[in-house]
Amino acid sequence: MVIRVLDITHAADTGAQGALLGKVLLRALSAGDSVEISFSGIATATSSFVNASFVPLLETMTFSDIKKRVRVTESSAQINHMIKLCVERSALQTA
Amino acid sequence: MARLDLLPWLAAAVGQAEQDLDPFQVCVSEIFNNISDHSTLDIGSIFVQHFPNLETVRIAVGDFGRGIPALVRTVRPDILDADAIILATEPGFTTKSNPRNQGIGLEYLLTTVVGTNRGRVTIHSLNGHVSFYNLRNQIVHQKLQICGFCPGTTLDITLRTDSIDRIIEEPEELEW
Repeated sequence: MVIRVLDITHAADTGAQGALLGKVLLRALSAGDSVEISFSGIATATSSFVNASFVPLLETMTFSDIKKRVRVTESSAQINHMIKLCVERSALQTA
Repeated sequence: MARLDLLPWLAAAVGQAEQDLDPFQVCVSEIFNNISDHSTLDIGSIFVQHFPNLETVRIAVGDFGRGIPALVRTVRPDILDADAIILATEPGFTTKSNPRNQGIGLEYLLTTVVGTNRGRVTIHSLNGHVSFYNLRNQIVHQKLQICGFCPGTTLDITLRTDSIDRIIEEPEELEW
């Protein structure tokens, strides 16, 4: 299943925008599938966005599961760095 | 806001593509998210000025919230104002005023502006005034002896326009 961030929100700047993506992600992953998230058309993401969209996945999945089932594509180096930083750091805190 | 107003203006002023300034747009967004998360008054002000002869851009962002020291003292009661500012910038530190907050905003600002751009960030909050700058590729800080009180927080950012990297990227996949 492919989720295009631009179909959900026009930017990845705020926690509110992240929460919109987070809801869609949780729904898709709770069905047991893997998901691909495409950031096509989005150049940057803030920590607030990632904390509200990707980090909550750790409440229901392990970090190892996230790495297996969540693909991020059509992304930028800055977005990928921010996602890794926030999710890894949160995973360490909950470990 | 930053994306719609600041970025196009800044790109035109310094003669670079908007995408080259993406990291700084993220910094400004992080600051305004901090204001929204931490300040009881959800209002921030931004002022930007280009100094072409000095090859710098100054960005000042201010709010009239409780101030960084007051927030830090919710978890470190006896800390002094300048020390609270320094602590707030350290990786991983957060007062958890927003449960999802991991305290990455200020860290990202310093890494981007001071670490990569070799600019300067000065943070004024209550009686604390601390300047962060690059010394031999390390981010170092200096407590400033300023007689003055900042009700809330003001970030004074100096970007060097002579060290803004061109960003030429192809879309990529995240490698966990």
